[in-house]
Amino acid sequence: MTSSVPDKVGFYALQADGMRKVAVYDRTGDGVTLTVLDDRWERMARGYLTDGILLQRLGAMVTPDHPDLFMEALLEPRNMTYYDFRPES
Amino acid sequence: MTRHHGTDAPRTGSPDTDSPHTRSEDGAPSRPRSPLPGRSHADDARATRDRITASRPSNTGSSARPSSTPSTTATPGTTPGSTTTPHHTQPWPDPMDLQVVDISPMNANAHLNEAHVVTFEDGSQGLYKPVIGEDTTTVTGVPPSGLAPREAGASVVDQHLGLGLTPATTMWDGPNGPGSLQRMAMPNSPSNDPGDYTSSEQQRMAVLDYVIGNSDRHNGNYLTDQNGGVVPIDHGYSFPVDQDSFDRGPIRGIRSDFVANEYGNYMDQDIIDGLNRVDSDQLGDDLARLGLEEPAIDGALSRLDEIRQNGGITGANWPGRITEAHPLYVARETRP
Repeated sequence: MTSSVPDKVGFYALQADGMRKVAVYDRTGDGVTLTVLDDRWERMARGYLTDGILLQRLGAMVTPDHPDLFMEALLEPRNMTYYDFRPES
Repeated sequence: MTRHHGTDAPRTGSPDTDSPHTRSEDGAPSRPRSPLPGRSHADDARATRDRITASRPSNTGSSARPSSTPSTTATPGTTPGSTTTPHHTQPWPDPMDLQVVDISPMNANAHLNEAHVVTFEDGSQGLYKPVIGEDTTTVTGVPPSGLAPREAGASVVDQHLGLGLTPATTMWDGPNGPGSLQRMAMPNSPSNDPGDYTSSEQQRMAVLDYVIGNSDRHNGNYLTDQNGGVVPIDHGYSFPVDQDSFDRGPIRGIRSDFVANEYGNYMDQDIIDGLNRVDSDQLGDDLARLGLEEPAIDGALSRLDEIRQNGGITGANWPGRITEAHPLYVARETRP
């Protein structure tokens, strides 16, 4: 299930000119790293790293301690209209 | 800001004897705790949230606004259409007969439900979520009427209660059939830490989330407007018909930092006064017109009554869980 999970996921925020990429999550050999492209979204983007995110498939909160599951959870469809996570690798 | 220290509002239990002397981090007196039956866990929940915040390497996105900064949103009872009313809270025309100039599907990878950005002839924009594009299978316990009337219902509650927070949302028969239409909140910036908004905004957000029974108030489901005001969005997982609605495993019940933080606190008297002016019968009728289930409406009205009668959120009229956005931090497991 997790074999197709991408190594890079873009985090997008809806702005007046459309969805704009504000951060990128990278799965590396050491776990998951975050690159913030717009500082205004750093708190939110980093919050997923520290707090975890719900993986609906397992019904559990997952953190970067489990990189594959974390990247999968980022891409899982959710009810969050002004944001998007997109696979980029 | 008016603080409620009176003895007339609470009607149940006995006061928390040390609470009148508690102070916030900045040294200002905090609002007294309400007399809940049994011990409130709100302090525990707040402590765990503080630990999470402290563990974050950076928190540059959250800068506290000075307490002297006036809220840009209306307080309960203020006149709609005042100069401080954010544009996104201004109601849509009724009937909603603006001509569509452009409609663009969002095509977002991670969106559970179909959504479109619609531009109208007057230049206004809305987020249109057609009923036909709703996913009601991924999340367990979505009531039969679906998500669109819940999106609109949150706006109806906001308007009746005079909260001045939620982008105006209505049911709309759009190009893909009936659905919800919510004014776009533009320009916007991301959510702040709940504690960074004004005390009034925090309390009004708590009222909104508790009355609508919001199970989905995480930091992606509220924004900050250009004046620093909080903008609640995405209310499809609200108006539960029972405590098992919108069950997502660890996430269930009412889930909102704002509710968890206010649970067990007296609210400001001006907010309670505003709620006391609400015509519950009219509110119930307006929610019923959206097609919401009777238990969903009765639950919302009952929770509103609870706040009015007790001067704050006690959980007396909600049998389920109350958690922070992170579901590990539970303010109240179930009603004792």
